[in-house]
Amino acid sequence: MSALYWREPAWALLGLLPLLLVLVSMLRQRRQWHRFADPALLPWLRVQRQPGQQRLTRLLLVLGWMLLCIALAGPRTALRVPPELRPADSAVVAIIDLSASMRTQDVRPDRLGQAQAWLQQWLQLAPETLKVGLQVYAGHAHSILIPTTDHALVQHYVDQLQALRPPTMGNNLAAALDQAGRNLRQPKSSQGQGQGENTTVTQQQGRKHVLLFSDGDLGSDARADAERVLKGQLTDSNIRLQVIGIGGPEPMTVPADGSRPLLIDGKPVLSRRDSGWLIKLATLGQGDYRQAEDLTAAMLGRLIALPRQRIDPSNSSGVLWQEWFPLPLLVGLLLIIFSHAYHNRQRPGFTIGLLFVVGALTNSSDSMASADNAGEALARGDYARAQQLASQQEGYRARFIEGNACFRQQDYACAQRSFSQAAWSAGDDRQRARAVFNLGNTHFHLADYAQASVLFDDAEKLGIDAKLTRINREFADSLAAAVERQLADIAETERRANRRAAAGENAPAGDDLRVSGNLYLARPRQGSAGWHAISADALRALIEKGIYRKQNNPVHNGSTRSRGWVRTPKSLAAGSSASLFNQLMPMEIGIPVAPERPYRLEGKRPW
Amino acid sequence: MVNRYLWLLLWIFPLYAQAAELQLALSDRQVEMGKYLSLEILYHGGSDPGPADLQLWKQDFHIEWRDRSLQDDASGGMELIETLRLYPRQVGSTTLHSIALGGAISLPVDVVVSPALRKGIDGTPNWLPLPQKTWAGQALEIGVELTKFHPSNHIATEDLQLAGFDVQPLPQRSIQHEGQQRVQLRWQLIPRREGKHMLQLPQIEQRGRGRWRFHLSLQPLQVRPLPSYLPPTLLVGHTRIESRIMQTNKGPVWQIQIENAALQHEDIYGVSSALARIGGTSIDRITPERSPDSPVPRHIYHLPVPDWSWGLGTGPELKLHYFDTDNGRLEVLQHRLPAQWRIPAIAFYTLLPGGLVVTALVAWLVWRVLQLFIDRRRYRRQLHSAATPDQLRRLLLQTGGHQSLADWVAARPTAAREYLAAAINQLCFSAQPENDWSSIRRQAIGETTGQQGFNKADRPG
Repeated sequence: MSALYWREPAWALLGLLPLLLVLVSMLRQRRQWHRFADPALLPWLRVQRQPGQQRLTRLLLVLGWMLLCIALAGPRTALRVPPELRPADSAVVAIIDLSASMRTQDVRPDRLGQAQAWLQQWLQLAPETLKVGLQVYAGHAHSILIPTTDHALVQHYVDQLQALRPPTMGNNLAAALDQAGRNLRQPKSSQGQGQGENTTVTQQQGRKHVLLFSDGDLGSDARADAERVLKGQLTDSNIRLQVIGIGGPEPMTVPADGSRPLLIDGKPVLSRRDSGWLIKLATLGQGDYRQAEDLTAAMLGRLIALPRQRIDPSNSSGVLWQEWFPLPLLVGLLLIIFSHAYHNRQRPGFTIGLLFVVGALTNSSDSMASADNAGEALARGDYARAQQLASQQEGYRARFIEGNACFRQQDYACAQRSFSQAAWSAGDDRQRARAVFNLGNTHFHLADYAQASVLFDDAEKLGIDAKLTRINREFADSLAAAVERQLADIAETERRANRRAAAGENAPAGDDLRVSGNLYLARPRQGSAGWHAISADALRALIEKGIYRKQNNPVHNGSTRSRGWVRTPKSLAAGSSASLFNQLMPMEIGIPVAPERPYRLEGKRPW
Repeated sequence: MVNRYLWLLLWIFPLYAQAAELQLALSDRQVEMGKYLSLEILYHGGSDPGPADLQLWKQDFHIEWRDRSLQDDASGGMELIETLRLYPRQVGSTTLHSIALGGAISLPVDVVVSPALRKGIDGTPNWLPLPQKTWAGQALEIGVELTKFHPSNHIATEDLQLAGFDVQPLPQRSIQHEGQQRVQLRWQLIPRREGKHMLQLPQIEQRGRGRWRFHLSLQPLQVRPLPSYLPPTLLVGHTRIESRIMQTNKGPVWQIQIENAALQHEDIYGVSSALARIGGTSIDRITPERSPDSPVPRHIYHLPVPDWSWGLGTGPELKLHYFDTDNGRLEVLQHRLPAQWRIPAIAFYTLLPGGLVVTALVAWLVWRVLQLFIDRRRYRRQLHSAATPDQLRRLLLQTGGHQSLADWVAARPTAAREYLAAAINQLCFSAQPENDWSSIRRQAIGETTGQQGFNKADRPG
């Protein structure tokens, strides 16, 4: 509301006119009654009107009148404020943790996605005069945008956050805080020059904040460094650190890429939000801490607690305004028409007005997506729409529909995520069984045959028909065994090749180099509708996918003939702001070639 | 001796020196477990052939590289001598397969491995039974058993490190069996990565009167993945949960102990959240302690009893998910915390005076009811003992301080009372009373004490 201005606020007082009329009418009526009857007889003389038609008509008329008066008063918001009218240099630098742990999917869609969504929401509510900067960090800190009032530009870079690939791994929060502090302390360039004596914007000391989005999953050294920077620099400059804790309280596996967990020393890396340390950090930074799940966009605004900045009416001519009067005008007119139509509802105008309003309401409810709508979209084969609608909902049904939609679109990583969440959040065994069975099929398509077998087994225990699960499980087991055997054969072939190479001319004549090129698949059980109908090429392709997965090849794009190709780093023209930054960031820290994968810094945690 | 012969051959036939030659010089063809065979790989060829690929031997022998010397010979070729020690992994006949190196191939060599025997005591270590399959995250125990050749001998081993496993050494266990001392070396493993693993133990050394270094054969273990939808810190395997109330300086506290063989340092999924909900506190305030002296890993949580807690029935319910490895499915363990009565001090001191007043009121009411009961009994006795109609009349008037029986009737006018009043007045004041005295008295008692005093025949017409 603080951003709302009125062109002619006095007109709004006209809105009280109906109240005045009602008051006068009541007084007049009372006097008339008293002329010909004693007050004691009045209750027997007066006939109470039935509430209903007339009262509703009058109420609608009054409301319509008030809205018209509001329209007359001219509500508006500032679209652009000239620099000379802007208040003191209030600024916020948002720091976003881009370490690998922020890809953890304990919140939807993942921690980075949640931080991104909060920033987007907050930017829409942020005062237009506020300068906002953007900073990211992993192994090094990178300044994406120095503080600016061009919120559209900030929004653009926030939208690109998911595509940013920091060149080094780690958690160098200290450097990010240091850079943010320097960006906020930068001397005013042109801002002071335009501020003449006639500047009548409420002049208050501009506040400076660092807004940190992080899960707090840092090593002890990185924490100590960050605390040192806070104590030494930020607090001296009167910059406050506001911290938003992202992630869940329970430890979850950090994904390496796609659906695979990040392994260190053969064990999956776990990460959870460390609220305790983030609270400590916020306290050191003289700010506050909030958990993302307890946050609202308005609360974020209050957290930053920017001074209220009002534009003086005498300067309104210098401001570009967004006028809002059509909105109350339209609604007011509609109400008046509706009340008139209701009063004379025997006439067709009433029906037309009603239809009009109902139609308008139906259109506005379009955005209220529901799981039912998603289910309908899924049923009619509109999988993209089903996925989009389901992703806006919570709960088992939404996740199940989302998983199905992703599966149909062959986005198996998304299907795996959704079916996993559906299975975990299922209310009973029947629901869980369905999700687990579909999850098994998803893992099968991801060539993770061992996991698929376990899930088919689980689904059977949870109540899925054994005939269904048995076929799938046997096929998955057979493929898993075939993959193992093929890998063993490859290793044996390699050993024999090395031996032949070492033996040279003395190699025995009968020493066969290749062990086998055959498919090793168990026969399907008799009576089961097996996989004999699948062609040998298709089976070989499935086994090759399994081999690729085993060999930790991240490429699972369906192409089974790509192993002969070697990817080389190639300098490409930046197609987006994110890809431009992905090429600039390595140069910034002195890495000559843009790496395809972030470098692992020695002695630092890679998540 | 063999070495000298081979070197002689190499020097005598220089033509062969240009064609590569490879020989295996083994110190012996027999070896006992815990001892080693010395082996020299003798190579003569045109250039350095690089390291030999001994992969095939590793299944039956632990290989320890001792020395590698490479020198030019007089004919312009290279002479390589690699010295190795081979520790057998299992008893029986085995073969050192032929190897290829630098254009030459060696001949295979048969070796016989005998058990480590001293004075009839077989000191060869044996694997303890090992499951073929297990679940990822499920704790399992592995170990070997060996007999000491002499009670004073010492059994030592190195730290066990296995990729993809959390390893926890367990204390050695000594067993007396038929006068011999057997020692069990044990480790607890928690597999973290699914797939087929080959478990390899570190060297096991028996020292004392002699020295044996055992390298045992590798054992396969298939690790099944947990269903992928389960959270990573979910408990795997049999789980026990206990709780009790502890009194501390800060008030009563629930102590919750969770035991599971596969417990790690990480939080258990869902416990902290559930406790935070029960205790009305933040999850960050709930951190488990790990009990150091417990034979089974145990997490201990302390949760302050909330300010408003009613000690009636059972306490709040704690639901704990875990993966049942026996049935291979997700299960829920439901546990009720003990109930505890607790209200805030300020509420207690506020409610105390009110409670006292209510208690006093109740006591007074009880006393009054008792008093009424006693009065009533006494009055009834007096009515029973009334010998004359005058005495009865006086008693009736006394009950409500009435002046006359007409007043007594007016206090609660009924037909029965009217009849009684008339009858008693007649008995008292009439010269010739018509009513039966005993019947009237009985009716009066019934009327005044609430009992039915009238017989059908007595009812006034």
